Amino acid sequence: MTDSFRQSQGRKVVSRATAEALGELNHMVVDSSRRHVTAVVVGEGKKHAFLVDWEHVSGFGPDAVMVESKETLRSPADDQEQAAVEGKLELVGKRALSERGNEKGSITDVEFDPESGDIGSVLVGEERIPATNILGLGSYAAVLASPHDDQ
Amino acid sequence: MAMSTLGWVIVAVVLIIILVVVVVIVRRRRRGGGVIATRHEE
Amino acid sequence: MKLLVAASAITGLPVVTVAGGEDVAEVRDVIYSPELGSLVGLTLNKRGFLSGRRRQVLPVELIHAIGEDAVMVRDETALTEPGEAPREVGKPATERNVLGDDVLTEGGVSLGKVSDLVLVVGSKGEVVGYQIEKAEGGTAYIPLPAQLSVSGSALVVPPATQEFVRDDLVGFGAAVDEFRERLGMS
Repeated sequence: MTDSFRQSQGRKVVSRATAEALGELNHMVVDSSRRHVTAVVVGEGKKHAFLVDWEHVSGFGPDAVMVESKETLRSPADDQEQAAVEGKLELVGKRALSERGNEKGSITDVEFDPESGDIGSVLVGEERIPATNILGLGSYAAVLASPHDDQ
Repeated sequence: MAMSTLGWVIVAVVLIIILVVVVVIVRRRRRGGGVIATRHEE
Repeated sequence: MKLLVAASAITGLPVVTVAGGEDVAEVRDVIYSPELGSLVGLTLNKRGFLSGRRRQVLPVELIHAIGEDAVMVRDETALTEPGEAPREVGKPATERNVLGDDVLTEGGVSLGKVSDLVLVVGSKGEVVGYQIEKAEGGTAYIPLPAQLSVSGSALVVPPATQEFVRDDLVGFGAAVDEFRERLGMS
């Protein structure tokens, strides 16, 4: 089963304990190797956005994202998480730059498994690229590995 | 001041042009840049 | 076939880290050694609309790749203090510039004056040719041999160079390859 970052944008986040609506999913946070989703960002803005670690996401469904309870919402713990919460590390829309210094376009979507949180591919234009080909991700660009014979 | 609206528009446009020119000049001077070829002293 | 770009087109490009995806600087000057036939390094500006010079420089060995949209470095440690970089990069010359020099064939024919360098995209600053202002007007591109004789204020090139002068960069890559093959055979 696969879901995508673009499709999950804006999805309702609901507390499993109380069925309370906690906000909307605005960003997905990925780990440094780009293999897993590590957290989701609920809400918008510097002060009203919170993180929910993936372990506390009990069900990532097509219509709603269920989190264990309201208590699992937490604030960013460091600069990296703060940048993620502000959307600076958002993969969708990020400039895709090859390690050879040529722009390949923008990342249009990211495919992942909503049960495990494992990330599959990113889409750049028409091309599907394994997310592990992302050598670096920052506020300016996602740097993609180049095959040795490519430019 | 007894100046027509047209007069004020002209003043505004001239000020904007001056601002743009100043910004372009300052930017060129601060950022410079070009190709330099070295040659060792003989 | 290789993609080519003029050195002047590299100026102003962002310097981006592969590891961090951050634009840490911008290219200011491209520093070239005619003796070596390749770049020795880049000086930098800070990122930002009105920002000025950045103190650190980028020696060519620490460049990961030069592309059409960015100059890539492994990480921010590639940016070197001027005191720790080769002199030509840390304190670049502003005189004795090969740009503007006459290009003469060994037979005494002037092809024009050097106006820019031609680099291989994706390389670390490999220079394969010069852009010249032709005596009669207009620009053209001439391939560089591996060894170039640099003396006084003129560059002396083999007579065969004349046959490989091109008007644009599109066909120039092939001309460079053919020119080098020709030199290899003679």
